[in-house]
Amino acid sequence: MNINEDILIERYLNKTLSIEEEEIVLGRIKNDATFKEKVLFEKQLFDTFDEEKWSFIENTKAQEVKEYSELFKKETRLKQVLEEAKTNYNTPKKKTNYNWYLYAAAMIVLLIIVAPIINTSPSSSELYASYINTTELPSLSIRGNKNEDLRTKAQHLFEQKKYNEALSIFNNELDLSKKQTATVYLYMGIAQMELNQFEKAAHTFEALINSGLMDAPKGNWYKALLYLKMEKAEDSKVILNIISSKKLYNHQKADDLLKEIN
Amino acid sequence: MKNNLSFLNALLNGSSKEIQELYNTNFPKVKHFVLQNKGQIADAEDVFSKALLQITVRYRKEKFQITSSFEAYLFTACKNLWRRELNKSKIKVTNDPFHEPKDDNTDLALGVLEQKRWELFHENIKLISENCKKVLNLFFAKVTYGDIMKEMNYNTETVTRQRVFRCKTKLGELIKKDQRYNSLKEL
Repeated sequence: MNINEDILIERYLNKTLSIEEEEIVLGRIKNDATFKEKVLFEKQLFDTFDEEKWSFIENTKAQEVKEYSELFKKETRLKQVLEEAKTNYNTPKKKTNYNWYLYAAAMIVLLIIVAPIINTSPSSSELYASYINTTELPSLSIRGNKNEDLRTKAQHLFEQKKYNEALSIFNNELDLSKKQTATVYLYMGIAQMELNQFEKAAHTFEALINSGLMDAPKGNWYKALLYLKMEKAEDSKVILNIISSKKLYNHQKADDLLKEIN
Repeated sequence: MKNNLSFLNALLNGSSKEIQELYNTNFPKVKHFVLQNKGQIADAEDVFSKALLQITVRYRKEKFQITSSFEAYLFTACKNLWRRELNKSKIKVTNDPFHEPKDDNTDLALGVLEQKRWELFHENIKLISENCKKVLNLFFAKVTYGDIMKEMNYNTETVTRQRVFRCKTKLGELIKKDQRYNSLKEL
């Protein structure tokens, strides 16, 4: 396989080919067994090493699947023992230590009294406010793009915090059914987030994350900020940990933010 | 501390006492992981039982080697099964016709074979150079070529693409040379 074919397959799997290019690739998959094998192997590589994905088996009727399936059918004894182990694990111990409850109740009362005094850590929304930084966003307009004027207008409105008007351009005048640049998703998602349109913002960032665009990982950072704005610190931490472990966009900021949330 | 073989024998024989100990010792960690990753306690229970079943059946069929400790292997199997479940639900949402619901035993069988493929790929990536490993880890984590270029101090994105290509090709060669690949490639 040469590098051009490799890039073509990568773009096919990331869904960033044009309709014409995709048709050519699909034609080759249909008629060229070697090429099909390359595509399948690349898909297995991507799905195995991307920790958010899983490489499923396509040929579910293979002989080995049948053989294993038959063996699982016969494991009735182990299935029963595992069920019993689960039940035993979940059965509470009969002996009750009332002192423990007493201590726990005393601690709760103490925490209720003391917590407001000692809690000086910032709230989720305060953290959101200190980490959202729209000045680092790239410019929306692309030189020579037929929507250049519209994009410039939307960017000005966004910078003036006229989010409703900016969104109206995105929604009414740009063809969102066609693939847009990552920057459009970011501007839209942040505008929706600022307007507290949380569901829409989540949908927009999710679309970016799944877009296969080069800047798709940026969607994770803004989705983490979205959860902070929604006061869902735990959900935000899950995403920040992914950003940190995979060294995605803004991973150092994610590390800092995780320390502040904790 | 028990050795791997004694755990495997306990599972093969369905020994209640040892399996209960295994459950009590290892389930809390798996429960914590699943709860931290969008799951419920029932999901953790399901994943834990499935992992033990899969290890048992696979060992009964092919006496495979566990090179780490049994507990570490069990935890990885549970993590992978949970990752699989999360991705199954994504497929259900998108109504992928290739992934119709299977009966429980067929689904367990598919899970074993997918785990085997996961091990084949992960064991082989350990064999490539440290530099290639780092490049590919960034690449598969969807880090942009521009960011890989900066992280690895390459001069241009073209050089970065060529490096990714070469490392990926090397990994592919190693996997395809591994004798386990022949039985998995048709799946």
